[in-house]
Amino acid sequence: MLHETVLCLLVVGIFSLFRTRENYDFWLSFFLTAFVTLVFAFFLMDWHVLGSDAFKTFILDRSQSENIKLDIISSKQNYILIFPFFINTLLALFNNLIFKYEKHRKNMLSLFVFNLISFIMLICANNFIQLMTFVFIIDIFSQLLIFNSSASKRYSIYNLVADMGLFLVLAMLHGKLINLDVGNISHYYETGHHRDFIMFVIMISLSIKFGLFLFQGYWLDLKSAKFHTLYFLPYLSTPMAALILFIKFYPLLVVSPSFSPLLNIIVILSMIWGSVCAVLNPQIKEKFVYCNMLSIAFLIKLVEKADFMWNMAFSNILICLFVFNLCLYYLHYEMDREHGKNKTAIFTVLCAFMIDLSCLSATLSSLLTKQNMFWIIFFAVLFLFVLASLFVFVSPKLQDKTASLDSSFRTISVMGLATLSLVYFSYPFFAYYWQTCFVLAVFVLLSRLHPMKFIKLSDSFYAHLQHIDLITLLYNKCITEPLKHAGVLFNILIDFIFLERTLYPIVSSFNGFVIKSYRHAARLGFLYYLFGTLLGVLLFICFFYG
Amino acid sequence: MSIELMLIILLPLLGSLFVMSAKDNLLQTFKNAEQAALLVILVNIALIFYLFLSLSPRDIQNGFVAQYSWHFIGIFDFSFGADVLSLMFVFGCQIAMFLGVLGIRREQQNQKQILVYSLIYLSLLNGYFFALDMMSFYMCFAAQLFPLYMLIGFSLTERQHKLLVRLSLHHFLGAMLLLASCIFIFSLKQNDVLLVTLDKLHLSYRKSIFVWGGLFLAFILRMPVWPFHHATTAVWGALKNPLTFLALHVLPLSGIYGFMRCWPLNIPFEISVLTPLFQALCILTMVFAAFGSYAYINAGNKLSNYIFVYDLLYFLAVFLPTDVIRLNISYSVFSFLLITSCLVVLQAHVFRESIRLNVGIKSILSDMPRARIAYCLFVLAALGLPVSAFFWNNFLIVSEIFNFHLYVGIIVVLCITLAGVSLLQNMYVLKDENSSCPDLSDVKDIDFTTFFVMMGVAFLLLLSLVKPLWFII
Repeated sequence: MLHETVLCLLVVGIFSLFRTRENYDFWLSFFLTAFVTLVFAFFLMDWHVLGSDAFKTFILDRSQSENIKLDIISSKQNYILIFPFFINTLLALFNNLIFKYEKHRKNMLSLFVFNLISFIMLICANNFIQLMTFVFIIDIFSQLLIFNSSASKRYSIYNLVADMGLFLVLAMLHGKLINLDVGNISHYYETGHHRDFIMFVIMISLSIKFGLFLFQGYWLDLKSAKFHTLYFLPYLSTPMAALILFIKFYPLLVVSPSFSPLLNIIVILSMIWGSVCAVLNPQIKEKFVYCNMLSIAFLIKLVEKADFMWNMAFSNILICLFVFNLCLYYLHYEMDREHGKNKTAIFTVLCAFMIDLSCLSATLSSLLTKQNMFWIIFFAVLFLFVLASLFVFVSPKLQDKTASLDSSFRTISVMGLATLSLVYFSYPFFAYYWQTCFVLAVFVLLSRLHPMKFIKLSDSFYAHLQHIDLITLLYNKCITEPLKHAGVLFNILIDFIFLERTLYPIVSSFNGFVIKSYRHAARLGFLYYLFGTLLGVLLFICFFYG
Repeated sequence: MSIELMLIILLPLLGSLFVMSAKDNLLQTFKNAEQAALLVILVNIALIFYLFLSLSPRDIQNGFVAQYSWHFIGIFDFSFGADVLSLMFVFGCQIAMFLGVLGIRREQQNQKQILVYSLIYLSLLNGYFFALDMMSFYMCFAAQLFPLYMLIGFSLTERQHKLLVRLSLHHFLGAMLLLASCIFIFSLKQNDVLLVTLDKLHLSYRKSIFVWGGLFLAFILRMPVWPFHHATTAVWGALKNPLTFLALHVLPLSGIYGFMRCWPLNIPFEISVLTPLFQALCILTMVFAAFGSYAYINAGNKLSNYIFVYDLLYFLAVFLPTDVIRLNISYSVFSFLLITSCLVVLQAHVFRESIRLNVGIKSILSDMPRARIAYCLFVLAALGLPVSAFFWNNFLIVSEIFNFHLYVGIIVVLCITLAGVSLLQNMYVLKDENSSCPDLSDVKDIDFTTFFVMMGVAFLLLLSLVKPLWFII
């Protein structure tokens, strides 16, 4: 069951924290990765033999308001949701093992494993405390993984704001429901109000965490982080935590009439902006960020159209997108750092890329046909166009540096298609053969025709746009600077002008006047005591008799 | 049981006598004095643990685990007692002072005098938190101001003494108002009154205004609520000594404790009509402090404004017409004291080093591995690392505020967020590895003992989820 899986992973995580000699780092990581793979095998076995839902609850603390519990619920739905994260973590672990420049394999392994445990606990969360705790913990793991203060600064600030938004919503819910159970949030509207406000706060918080349009700035800062950690972040950290929250909070979202238009606006803007920037941007890391922004926005819309019910198709999409990131990264790495010497590696990566892309297109076509979403098909084509542009961005380098690969590209495509056919036969999920073939053909055509030639014409325009940096300018002018000015203004107006220069001098002058008066009166001795006594008696009479 | 209680109150006083009798101007003298002070606080911590262990689940809600009465000049019975509420405050203060004593190791001036007065202050603070009757409560309330002013006086320059005068006027006025209320109650009852029976007093309209108004103003003058906030925050900004800063930091919390102990659940109607006004003032101050923390560049001001925001959150919480979250407030205050004490000590160390080396504070933590780890951990805890009692009790407090007033709750969360963001920005300024900065190879890290104690505090925070000491109560 899931609690046993968590326990095994916890053992691996704790074991990998122990300090050992550097020589043993690889082999220990190897054995621990093998152990995690074994745990995954048992996870799959448990999933297939699972009958009814199994609950495991640990009471952490008995509080006056409510007991603090840690729930691990082994249900089919949770298994389906955990599956892509487990697979992606395993891929990350394998990558960690084979990546020769990684010096601290064991530390990375512990981070990946603890991150996976946090995801499992987040998916199983049945109370607010568990939910918020693991969202925060995932944020902290992400920051540890970035390990670069200039890259993680905006990342942590944005996520803190998003987390406080969620904190606000949960505090409101708890205030009305007097209950920490996540299952009860659907009853909120029986006692509470402000459905638009709650939806708006959740959507803004989640958009920040997803890194959607207007909130992608902190993702762009990650370009100063190492690339071999960058591939991990979009599909195994905060955006995915936001996706899980998106699914869990749907009863709060769908009751607001503004939800659907708002989501459509955010998603469309993110897709358009993501695709334009992914195509136009000359930097691979920024292309990478924009492409992920586009794909995550697309995934959110798909989940919403599926009535927030997670299924295997979504799991497949997540895995495909992660593999796509990994392939792009490897292609970039092989070309830039290894100067294209290892042709076998490049060839393998390209094959993996093709297979991954065909799986993605097959899954997408099946989903889109089921949901009958014509406008989304447009974005699906756009999405693939961006993928193709990314590929094209890398392929000129391939052609320059390894001439033999240019001629073998057709072979690669054929091999990819052949592998795809094999996948179709062995995997009955891909039922929409023709649609997939069409999408794949579009991709191959786009790749071969090199439709991105016009990009070169827009280089100067893009450079100008980069120079202006519109989004940062917008943030600085609309949020940061007004806040700072408001703070300074408050400081000057209230502290300096009102208190220091007005109130205190008045009080001080009055005080001086009273002291002077009393000093004058005191010189008269008898009159002073008489005046004082009369004043006291007068106050006493006024107080008791009005 | 009573002997432990008396020991907790009197041990710091005895310790101060020991420190006072030490010779001046010797390095060894300070070492002895420091060790004596640390030992006294450690014994107190052990005694508090012992008292916590003797608590039964029934006592947690409303029971005094230890009581002590001292018959004094015929009519006064000085009564002291410990319950979870007071023990939490006392325990938090001991740890804060312990960290403060560790924090002044490298201070150059008046170390011995500061130690003497801080121990006297601690003793009176313990007495204040344990007081059960009105007279002993007042005496400790007023008497703790004397060592506090001495502490502040040692830490301020000649030109800054004006700030101290302003602060002392505020506090003196508060003490006088509490004295007036005490005498009034005493004249009505012809006897000393226990704090728990205060809400059962039957007073006429004018008398209730006098008594409750006096009590209210006495406690509120300790709080940094607008327009009284400037006196406190100005001194906070000027203080560089961590022990003195922490001593002053406890003062608003003692005001909150006063409200928790004396303020009736059902506020008299005469006062309750003014509650929205006080709430508005409180919110106004909170917004002001949050913006202030964001606007200031100075790291010290950012931290003091952060503390300021949380003080006001607790103040708002004690005014809610419910006693459900009373324990949550004390749990949160305990964790808050632990976190802020560590941050104050670390920040004081950073400032001291930057002055010693004549460099800015930017990137200074990059060459202090121990201080960097501790600082990052405590900033995370201060922001709301949810694996601590600080975060979850604040969650319950804020949800209760939401329950009573939506807009107040929203502003509170916004202020907390803004204060947290400014603290986070400050952390990145201190630990930024990429910025170009002068040679920091001579910079000294925090000593191992301080680091070890801080990690112990972090572990204590990590163990907690809602109840900070769940493993003993």
